Amino acid sequence: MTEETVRPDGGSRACRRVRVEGCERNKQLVGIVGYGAYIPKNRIKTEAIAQAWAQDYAKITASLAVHEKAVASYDQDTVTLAVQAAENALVRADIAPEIVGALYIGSESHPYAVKPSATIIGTALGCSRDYLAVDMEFACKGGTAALQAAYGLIASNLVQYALAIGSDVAQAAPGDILEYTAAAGAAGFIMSANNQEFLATIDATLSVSSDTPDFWRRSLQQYPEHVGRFTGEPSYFAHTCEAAEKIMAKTGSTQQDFDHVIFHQPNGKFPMQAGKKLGFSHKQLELGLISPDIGNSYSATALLGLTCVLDRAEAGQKILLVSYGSGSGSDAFVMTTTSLLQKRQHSAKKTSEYIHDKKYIGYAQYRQIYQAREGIR
Amino acid sequence: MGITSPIEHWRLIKNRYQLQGAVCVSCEKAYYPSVYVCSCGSRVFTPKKLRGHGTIMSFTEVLASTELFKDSVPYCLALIKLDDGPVILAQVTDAHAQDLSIGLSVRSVFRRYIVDGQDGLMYYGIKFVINT
Amino acid sequence: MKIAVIGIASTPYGEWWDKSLRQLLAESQLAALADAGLAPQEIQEIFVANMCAGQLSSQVNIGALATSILGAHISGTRVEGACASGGLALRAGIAAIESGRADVVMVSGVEKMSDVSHAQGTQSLMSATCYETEGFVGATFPALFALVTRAYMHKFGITREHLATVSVKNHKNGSLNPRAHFRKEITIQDVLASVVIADPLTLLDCSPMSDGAATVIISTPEFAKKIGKLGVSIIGSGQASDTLALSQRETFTEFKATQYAAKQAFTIAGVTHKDIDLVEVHDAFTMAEIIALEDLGFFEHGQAGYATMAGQTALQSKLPVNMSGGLKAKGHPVGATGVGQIVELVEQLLGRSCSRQVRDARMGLAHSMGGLGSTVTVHILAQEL
Repeated sequence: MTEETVRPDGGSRACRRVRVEGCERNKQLVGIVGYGAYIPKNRIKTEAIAQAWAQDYAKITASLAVHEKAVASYDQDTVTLAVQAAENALVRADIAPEIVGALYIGSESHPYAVKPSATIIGTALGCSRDYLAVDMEFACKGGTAALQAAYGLIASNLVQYALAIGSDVAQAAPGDILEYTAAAGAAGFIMSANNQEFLATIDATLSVSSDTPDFWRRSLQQYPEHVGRFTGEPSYFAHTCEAAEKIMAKTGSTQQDFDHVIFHQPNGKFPMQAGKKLGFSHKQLELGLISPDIGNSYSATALLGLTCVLDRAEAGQKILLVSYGSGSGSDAFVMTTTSLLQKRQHSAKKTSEYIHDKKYIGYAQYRQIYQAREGIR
Repeated sequence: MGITSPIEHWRLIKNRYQLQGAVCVSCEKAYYPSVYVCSCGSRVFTPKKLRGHGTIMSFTEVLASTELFKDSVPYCLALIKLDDGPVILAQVTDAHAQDLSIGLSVRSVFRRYIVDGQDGLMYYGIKFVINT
Repeated sequence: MKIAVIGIASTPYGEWWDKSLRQLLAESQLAALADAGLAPQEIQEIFVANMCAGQLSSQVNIGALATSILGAHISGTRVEGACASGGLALRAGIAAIESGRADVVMVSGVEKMSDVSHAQGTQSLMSATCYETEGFVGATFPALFALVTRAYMHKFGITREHLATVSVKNHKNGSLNPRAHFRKEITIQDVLASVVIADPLTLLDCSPMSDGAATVIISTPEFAKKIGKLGVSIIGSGQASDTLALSQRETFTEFKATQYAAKQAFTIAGVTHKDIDLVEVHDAFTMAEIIALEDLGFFEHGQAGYATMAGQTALQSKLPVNMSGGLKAKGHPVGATGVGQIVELVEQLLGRSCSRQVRDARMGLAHSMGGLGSTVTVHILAQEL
């Protein structure tokens, strides 16, 4: 059915205005057949950062609910972290890198402005030359964007195995509030339509997007800008809750149907508040809440919450995952675990093992690492 | 000075990213990097991706280096005997000299070796970490 | 073998801001001619040792540079083998005479290192390593020697104090050498307390970067007799090599190339270790002197460090080592070093070494090493009675 629509140049045109329903009917059922986490070893305590800036550590911890964060070594970056996470995913999937048909990497700290991280990662992993490779960016939801793109390619039967990675070595300006939470981490997922290999099925996915100016970085700037409290209600909460409600409606689910709920975690407070707003219990969010221990690894955060859940989930459990990326948007997923999952949980290092494998550094060493990173990513 | 060429790196990418060495088809001795003539005399080799597990044979911590490595200092280097046979010279990262000892078990990780200034290429390769 | 050394000269080694590469080379060439009492036209071929001029002075084709200093059209050849370039240039000169192609040959070595920063000098010296694999991981030359040092200390039990005694001895000798880069004596404590370059090697374990040039003029014995200059002859020469990369070696505590080169030299000379009265070795690092003395066969493997501490290689001992001050105190203008060792030995054998003179010096050995013992030459010189 066509109607009049106003054109940007002031004229009008007649065009289709209503979405056609049911086009998803012919897609393949897609699942996660492998997953892997990687968190670097260094940690810096909120207390150490607060001391350096003569700030009240107790107040900061209370407001952010993050007590320490993961810091990459000088010789680590988005690419090297991604390689480690992806290697763990390949091991859990029990496939050779040569048969990966697509590689998507979402990050907001790609080492190059122009030159794909994806091909460096692919070559390091041992992929063949026959794969689709592309870098993605959407602030903190670059990783779930990669997951959706991989999902789409598998659902349309274009490739058999696709690797989706979220990875970041996040940078925050010295003395900025984000310095307490900007962290480093990576998570990788192998997707396929081979149902005998599913560790978890992707039952549904959707996204909500809008031009919301809460957080950005200009291309030649080292550190991002953010707009204070505007990053809360109109940004994080609006998109997260909208995507969550819409996917529950789409799948005919209620809050009680989900065993595990994972939100993006810019700090330890926001996801709990989102959970409360949407009517989820603390217990549903517990397993996937990791930012109090490792901070916010941006494109990897929500995905590391997912790997943490997958490490401990039982068969037949339902997962709701809703990410958030500034600028803004949310990607929502409903997943169901399979009985094969528990057989693969131990195949590679678990998220909690990475969380507890740590070494503390002081503020001077932390600053030295980031000083040396000036002009690099 | 310092960086020969990104093209040289491209030729060596499989060696540098994946520890690809070579095995003599006659006596099965493994080499890294590959050689032209085996100690047994044979000149025929097949490429082999070596496993990144080994033990330290010697190590040092470098405190004074060239322009290219000035932001990496201090860094540790070690001669590592891989379980697959060959000895490799590589950096041992996330460690200082006092953490290392001869005979210590190490495993490989993919890390960034060189950043060529503000506008040059970045060079990745295999380093090692203490095997915990 | 009998190759006469009929003229010698060396510039002082050090930081010579107002002397260029060609000025240093010219100074040593002309002084050697004066020492031999020869006119430039009497030189038939020139071999010049140099390692870094291509990178540090943007100058190669050094053979032509050397001949043009003499204003001649004769054959001029640059010879390079990293820090063994000097020894290699001598080998090339000896071969020209032994083949009958020439009667009088000039062998020079020159290096200009102080025009660039220390970091750039370090970068240039790294081209002696297996750059693709060792340079890529940041293995500086001191770092590679530090790996050898730690392996040696682990195997034979010597300490950093043993290493320090090499440096102390060479500085003591250097204080008596008017041409040395460093003329100050130092103590073991000074060495241990100096800044770490590559653990466990400190600044005072490492030879410096220096400017300098040295020249020797060699000839057939007949020519030497004719001009009344038959005083010292080269009676043995050897050269050998090993893998470029340290990781490819069978052992990290010996340099096989030194062992093979020494065997050749002793065989050709027809003499034994007991006949050698004094030795100039390539002490690029304190550890290098210790390993060299063992590889040359003067001490059992593992013993030279203990022997040095016991004073067995001091100036007035039975086997004086590096009377010149060695690379450590005399300095290390890379291309000049191997040739400079010959100058030092000839002076000793002619009794011209003043306060550094070794008593009854009749036969001497020079050891020149490039890379981690990947190119080594050994020469034996004897007094003509």
